[in-house]
Amino acid sequence: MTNEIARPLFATALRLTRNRDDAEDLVQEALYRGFRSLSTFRKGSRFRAWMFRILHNVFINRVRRQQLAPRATDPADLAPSDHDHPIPDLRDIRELPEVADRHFDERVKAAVDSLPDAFRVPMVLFSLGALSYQEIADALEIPIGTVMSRLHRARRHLRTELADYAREHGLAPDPHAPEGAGS
Amino acid sequence: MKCVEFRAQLFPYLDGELDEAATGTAAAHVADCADCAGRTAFERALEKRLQTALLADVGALDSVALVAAARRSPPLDSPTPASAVSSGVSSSSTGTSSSTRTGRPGHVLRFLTARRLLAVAAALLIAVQAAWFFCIPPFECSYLQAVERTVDAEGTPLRPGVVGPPLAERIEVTPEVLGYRLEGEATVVDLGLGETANSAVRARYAQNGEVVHVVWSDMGGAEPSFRRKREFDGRSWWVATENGHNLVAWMCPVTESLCTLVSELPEERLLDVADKLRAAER
Repeated sequence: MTNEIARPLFATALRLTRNRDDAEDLVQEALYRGFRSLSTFRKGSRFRAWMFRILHNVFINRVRRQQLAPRATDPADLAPSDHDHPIPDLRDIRELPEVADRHFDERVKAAVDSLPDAFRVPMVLFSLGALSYQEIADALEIPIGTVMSRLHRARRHLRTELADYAREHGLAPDPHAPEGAGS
Repeated sequence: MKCVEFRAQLFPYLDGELDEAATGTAAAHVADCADCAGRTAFERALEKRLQTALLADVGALDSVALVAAARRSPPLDSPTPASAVSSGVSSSSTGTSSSTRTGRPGHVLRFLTARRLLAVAAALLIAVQAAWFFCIPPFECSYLQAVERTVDAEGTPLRPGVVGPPLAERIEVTPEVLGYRLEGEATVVDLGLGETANSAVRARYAQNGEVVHVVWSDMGGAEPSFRRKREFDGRSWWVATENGHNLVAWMCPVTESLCTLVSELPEERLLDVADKLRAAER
């Protein structure tokens, strides 16, 4: 197993569990279960998606063991429609923080960690797992439209946090300015 | 397409989730609208930067860390979650910090069990790789079924169904890609990318008179994600994409490391590959 998949797998686990030790355990168990059931891997499917699905299943099993399973009626599905709440345009930010900006990285991670599971899980599976919408829908057993909706809201939340960050650090004059008009 | 319509599709467009027609429409709008082009470029950069931030604290992860995690992990089959928690082993996934794992009762026994599990996993992996490599059931060796006749780099005919040296035997040419049907023969070419991943098969596909070219290399049966059609040397190529890299190969399900050489190609290197593929065409 190379870092090519282990690294995003671990990054995903880290954002799912919000804890490094738990993330290492999660990855270890997922890898073990993956190796153990390699014979069930079907030709024609994507190995990466398969591994991330296992990772998510292991995560869900652990959550359920602690009686913290998501409720049957997820409040996330009762939120206002995406159409009414577009993802904010942050182009007022003069320049994106440097790659090595630890403060920015920490803020992003904190913002992701603050998301409810319903939004955080699809986001990390997409961003770090590089899974498609359909693969996420399959892994989470939710409709693809729900995946899109939750990704939308996760992105909106992240950008709202980043707008605050930009304002605090003098990177943007007014992070809440209305979107620029197009043609 | 109006700006408001494009903005509604901006993220599915960036995510490569629109179908071909919608992608074309969105791309045409971006080409015509400076404001939407600016927003698209900004969001693409921001998404990349966010991903970098989320990956920032896993830089030290390597196989050593994984093995260390394995050694610390309780056996998967013995302690129940309740007993694990009561014995000081955290399985929390809700953000509460786990307790230390050193000095817990029976840790030596668990250490040995975890090592045994790793050994079994490693043996299993090696066995699966061997079975796959030597086409032992349930793995199939029906690759290149769509190719009636092929030759190796020296022009020597090869037996039907198999192309090139052992590694290239796993190359699979699919009869259809995104509705495009395979046309004629596939061509074997040496990409000059090193000893482990140097062979590829170039195949020509057509749909309604439109011809595209696909490079298959060491894909090992994994499903590629064809997201972009690119123009190289006046030809249309389907280029699979993952993690922002241009791929002429796809991640092998088991022997991923063998694919690394071709999976990290920068775009200018793809042009070299395209040159070689064109030269291989008779």
